[in-house]
Amino acid sequence: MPIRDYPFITVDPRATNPHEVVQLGGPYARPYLWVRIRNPATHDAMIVSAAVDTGADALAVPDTDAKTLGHRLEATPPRNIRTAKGLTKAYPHTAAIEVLGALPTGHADESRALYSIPETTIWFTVGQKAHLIGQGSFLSLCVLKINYPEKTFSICLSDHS
Amino acid sequence: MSSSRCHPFAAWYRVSMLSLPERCARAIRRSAHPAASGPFRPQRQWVIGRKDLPRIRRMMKAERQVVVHSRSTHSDTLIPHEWHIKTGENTGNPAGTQGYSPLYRPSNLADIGTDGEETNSMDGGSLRLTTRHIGGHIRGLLGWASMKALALFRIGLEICTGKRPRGRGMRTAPKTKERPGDYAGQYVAFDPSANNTIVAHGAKSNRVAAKARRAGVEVPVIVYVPEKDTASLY
Repeated sequence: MPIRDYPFITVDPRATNPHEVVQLGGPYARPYLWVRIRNPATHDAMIVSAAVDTGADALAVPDTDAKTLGHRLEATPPRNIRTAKGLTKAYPHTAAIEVLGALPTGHADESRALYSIPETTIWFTVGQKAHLIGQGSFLSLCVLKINYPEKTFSICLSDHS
Repeated sequence: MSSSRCHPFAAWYRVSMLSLPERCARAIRRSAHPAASGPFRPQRQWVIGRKDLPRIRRMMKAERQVVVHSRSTHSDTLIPHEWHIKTGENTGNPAGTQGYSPLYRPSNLADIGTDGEETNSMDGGSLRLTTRHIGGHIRGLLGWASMKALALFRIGLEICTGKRPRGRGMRTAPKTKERPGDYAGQYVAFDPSANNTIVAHGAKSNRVAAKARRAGVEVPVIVYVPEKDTASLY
């Protein structure tokens, strides 16, 4: 498991060079985890940069990702959830997730899976754009250390888990 | 001519240039008309902007021939109008089509050129203005829908006369603020197996992912690029 000194990355909207959209570090760098999300039924998968959000209860993804992962969004009843923008709806579905390593460029290292969760609940959230990884996915089992000055963070399993 | 039952080409046949676009648009909206079938069947709203002009000029210059076909208002047959631009000679004007608009005079068409260059200075060959194959021929050449080709002819007129046709029927392409490499507020798909090059981008993540998969990326990396000058408060 141990995810040590995982670098902050920047997703730069000002980048004009395609190779600079994702960068390692930088003044606007944030704690993102590269996560491979897979539908265990269809094996459709995608890799996303999920922002570590200690205030989120679960792994929240945009509802438009349901199609990409082969989920039928409305196969499960929606739940009302609170977001920073207010109340919205989210559809819980099952997925397998893998936390991936980061390359020196800041991109995902798809060949290096640091941690796998064979089955967890992800929430396809209506109106959401970003991917958020909250405590319900696996963070609730972990000790999360964020080093803002160094722009790194570490996630280790708790002794109590 | 019955304006309520005219095909776009029929409308083009007799109306003046200034009213042409609007009439054309009305006719296209009446796509249920039986004449609106075959290669000229209106498919979708067409938008062509001034940015297409150089391409059209190049095409016209390269082809050196453009044939205007109009649909008769009395029968649904197509009537070809062919002009030799250099000689100013109408070579393919069949009987019964003498009432064509003066806009289509060869003297006007002779002004077609590249960057103001007179067509007369082009050596050899002849330039004929075509709309018959604007549906098929030009569509095949440029990959445009047939109705876009109608707009092509309108721009051709614009080139010929030096005037911009007015009317709401034909609109120029809306100006877009997007620049190459401007991904703010969009999803971007990377190909992890190809040095993380960008293979698609757009406003909806599922479309971006689908585009990436069509490009051969089985597991695309999808990243949401936030809007510029915004703070992240989740």
